[in-house]
Parts: sequence; C-alpha cells; structure tokens
Amino acid sequence: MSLIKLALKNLLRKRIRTALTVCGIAVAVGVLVSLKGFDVGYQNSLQADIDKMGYQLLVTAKGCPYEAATLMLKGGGGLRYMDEAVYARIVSDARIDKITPQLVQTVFDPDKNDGRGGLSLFMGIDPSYLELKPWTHYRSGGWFSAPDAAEVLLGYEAAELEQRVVGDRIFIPGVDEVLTVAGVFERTGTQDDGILFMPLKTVQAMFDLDARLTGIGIKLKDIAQIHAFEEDLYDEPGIQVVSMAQVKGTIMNLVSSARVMTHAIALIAVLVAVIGVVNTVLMSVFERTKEIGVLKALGASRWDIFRVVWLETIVVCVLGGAMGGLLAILATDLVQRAIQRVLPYAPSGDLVLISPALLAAALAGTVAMGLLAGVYPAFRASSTRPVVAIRMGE
Amino acid sequence: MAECLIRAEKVSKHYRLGEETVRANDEVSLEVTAGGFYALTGPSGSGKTTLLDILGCLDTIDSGRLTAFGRDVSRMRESQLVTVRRGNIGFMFQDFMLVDTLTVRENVELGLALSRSPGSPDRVEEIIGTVGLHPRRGHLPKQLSGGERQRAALARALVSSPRVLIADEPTGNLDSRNSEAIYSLFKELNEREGLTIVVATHDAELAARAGTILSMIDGRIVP
Repeated sequence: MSLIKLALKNLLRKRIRTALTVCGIAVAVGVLVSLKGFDVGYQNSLQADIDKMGYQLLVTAKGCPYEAATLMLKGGGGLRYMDEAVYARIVSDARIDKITPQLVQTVFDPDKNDGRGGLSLFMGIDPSYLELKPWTHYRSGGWFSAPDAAEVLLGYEAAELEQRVVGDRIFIPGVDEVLTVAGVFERTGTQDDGILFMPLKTVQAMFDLDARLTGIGIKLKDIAQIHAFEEDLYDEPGIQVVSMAQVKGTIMNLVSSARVMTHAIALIAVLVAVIGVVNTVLMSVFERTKEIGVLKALGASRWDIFRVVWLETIVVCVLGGAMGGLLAILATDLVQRAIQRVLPYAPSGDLVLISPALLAAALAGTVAMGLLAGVYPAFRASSTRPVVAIRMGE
Repeated sequence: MAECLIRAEKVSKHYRLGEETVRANDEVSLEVTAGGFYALTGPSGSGKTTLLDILGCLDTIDSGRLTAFGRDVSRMRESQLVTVRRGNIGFMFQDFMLVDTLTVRENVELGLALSRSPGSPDRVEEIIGTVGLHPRRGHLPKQLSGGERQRAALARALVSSPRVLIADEPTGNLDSRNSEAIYSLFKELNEREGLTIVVATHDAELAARAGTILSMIDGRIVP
C-alpha cells in the first residue's frame, strides 16, 4: 500500500468537491493558455499578413496613416484617395524593386452573411500586383483579357462564398454591374483570399474614381533605404508613406491594452483557483485530523504525511492544468471568433496558436502551482501531534 | 523473570483547563512486562486514556521517567517517539479509525508500510485470516459490521508484529457477541503468541480476562 495510492484515494472521498476544484483550475488555466495562444497567434498572423502583402512601404493619401493601412488590409468605408499622378512620379525611382498601384473599394452586399448583409471588398490592380506576390497562383482561369475588361478575379474564399467558377457572371450590388469571372486564385492564407480583384481601370470607371488610387505598394531593392526613401517622399503633396513595420507596431499597440487587461483577469482567475485549492485541501486535512493522528500512531513520519497531502494538491492541480489545456484547445475556434468580432483588426490565419510548448509550460505551471499551494496544508497536517489529533472531539 | 518492555516511574501529566490544572496522571508507576495482559479500569476522567497514550509513546510526560524497549523516552520529541512506536507498539481505538477509502486489505497493508517493518503479502493475508476477515478483505469499512471493523483494526495493529498492543476501549462500540469475539482474540494472542496487551476499558468482562487489573482514580493507580 503506497502513500501515492492513499493520496489518490483521498481525492475520491469528496468527489464533487474535488471535481469542482479541478474545474476551477481548468477554467483559469484554459483562459491563460488561450490568451497566451492569442499572443503568439495574433503576432504570427499579423506578421504573415504583412509579409504576404509583398511590399514594405505603402503610399496613401494624407490622413491617419494607420487607419489607411488597416483599411487597406481589411477594407471598410472612409478611404481617402490620391491622384494617380503620384504613381507616375515615383515609379521610375531607381531604388524601387517593385511597385503596384491599388484602388480599394467596398460595397455593401445585402445578400452576404445569410441575408444579414456585409461588405464586399473590391480591389483594382494591374499586373504588377502579382509580381509582388509570387506565391499567388491560379486555381483556374487567368489574368483579365484587357486592362479595362468587365471581369473579376476571385480570391479562394470569395469564390467559395459566391459559389462562382470561371465563366460565371457575378452581380456587383450598389453599382448594378455584372462582371465575368476570369479566374480564381489558390488559397494564400491572407486577406487576398476574401477579395474580388478587378482591373484597376474597371474599378476607376465603375466607381467614378477616374485617375484615383487608395494606395501604392512599394518594395525597395535594399530595405536599409526605407528611411531615406520616406524622407524623399515627405515633400510630395497630399500623400504619406507608411512602413509596414510601423503598421504592425501600431496594430499591436492597439491590442496591447486589451491584452494587459485580459492577462490581469486571467492571473486573478489563477490566483482565485490557487486559493480554492488551498481551501479545499485544508478542509480535507481538517476533516481527516483524527485519521492523520492514527497514521502517525501507526508509524507515519511528518514527511510521510506532508507527502500525502502535497501529492493530493499536485494531482488536483495537474488534473486541472491538463483539463484547462484541453479546454483551451477545444475552445480555440470559439475564442478566435470572439476575438475577430472585438478587435479593430483581426488578421487572417490562426489567431490563437496553442503549441505543444505552450501546453507543456501550462502543465509545468500547474505543477509549480500545486507545489506552492500544497505547502501550507501539508505543513499543517504534518505538524499535528498524534495524541491531539486522535483525541480531538473527545 | 519476564522482560520489562515499558517502565513508568512517577510519571505525571497535567493539563491546563482554564484557570484550573488537571492532573490527568499523577506520579504513576507501572511496569509492562513481556507477555502480560493488563486492563486499566476506572471511571471516566480517571486518567486511563492519558496513561495509555503515554505508555504507547503517543504523548509526552511532564515529570517522572518513562522507559520503553530499553530507551529513555521521557524527553523525546514526536520525531523520535515515532521511531520507538514503529514495529514495537500496535494501536486499537474505540471507534476503529480505519481509513474509510481503503479496503480491509489495504488498511492492513498501510499499517505494515507505515511501521517500516519487514513484511510480505503473505503476512498481510495471514493476519487477516487470524482475525477471521479473509472473506471480507476486499470490502471497505462502511461495508463491514462494527465487530468486523474492530477486527480489521486489530489486524492493522498486529501486522507489523508489535511487541505491545495498546487498546483503548476496544469493545466500547460493540455488542456482546462482537465483544466476545474480541475478548477471545486478545486471550488467544496473549496466551498462544505471547503478545503483551494493555487495554483501557469500562467492560468488566474484558477486564476479567486480563492477567493484571489496574484500577485508576483521579490520575493514580490504586490498589
């Protein structure tokens, strides 16, 4: 009969109490793991989104640079426009490796989201757009037949959503235009998957935005020249230059205050769970005072009793930690959807990334929590004098 | 001349009860010799249980001298007393005090493990058989009658082959039939195996089976 078996059987005395304590830890650990997973997942996804834009600099019309960048990333109303002549002025700069003009437009589609309506994002592009994104391939079809063709290229998800294949016609609400699907892209794992691409000239004509652009994406030959390049464009009237590194930093700053708050709440939940564990184990120790006295009478040392109680606490914490990890994994989709609704900008990809290393760290954390939480109850139990314990209540 | 296992010389134990000092044991002198069967009798509050706790090295003394198994334990701390108890003293209590999440067999195994005595599964089975609980060895305490629980407690006390069995009111919660079973087991263990038994009891019939009856009043052993 080992002391480990004794400790495990002790936990089964008050099954509901043990289960509730384990659940308390599981919830706290689950929240913490989800938040940590969000930390990693969000940064990775944002970085991937920015990397897969293919350019390091974005030239936009003057205004809030980060709002413009965010709108370029995810779409929305309130975009500012600049003159296409800007593109003509900077396109020949020798420092530029690749450059692409863009005209983003959003349209409210009442049929989207099962009839609840939603925004459709259209982007006017020219062939240089795909030069910046060499990883983009056609699933079917190909490039527009003419620079002003009434055609559309669908991102992977847009095609799935619209249920369209090459040759199908697609109605553009708001402007009452009908376009033909020229091609469908493979999945890229970026915002491009949800976009409907049109020839730049077609968008300009369709939305009465002749010679207007919302942005110019630029990739330099030498990334070290970014600062100098920005400086040179400083005097260009009506525009601003935003580096994608700045965009990333700003978006991370936007979510950081929410992160601090949620982390604080999660840590409080963990603290409450630890207090719950201490309370549960202490109650269990008090209820078993006589039994502990008898065990000592039979020959148990202080260390024997300490180990039994400590082990009980650790087992409760480890069970809670394992359940919490599982809970976090199972709730990943739910958390991801909730985050997407709340955040100002939610990148594509996995927003919550729960890695084996994170789970291992969570489990190690719960073991440490158990070791810490068990010390006081174990000390109380082991310090009990056998004669006092046995005669308690007599 | 039988070996003296435990010797109490003018042992006193006092308690503070508010302003009052209670003399639970007052200069008690006693020798527990190997193979003896001692019954401590007396009214409630006469000091029987306190004396049992002292003889069983569960409690410390305030004055006097206590020797157990050749060692002076008068000033020993709990961490030292436990080493004296292990393998030398077995305990039985009025309310059995079995671990209620463990089966009879597991309770007995626990007694063996905690005493650090060398023992084997055969020893566990043997002692369970001795107290007549073989068919019930897989049962939890709550599935046993009072008599069976006390026999299980006896098996747990004896599995480490102690030299002295200390029993506090072992028949206090039992009916006459089950009490008789315990008397018989005590007698058999004492006479056949030479087990030294010290029992505190109000039960006159049990006391009558003991070789030595020690009457206690107000913390003293009286003639």
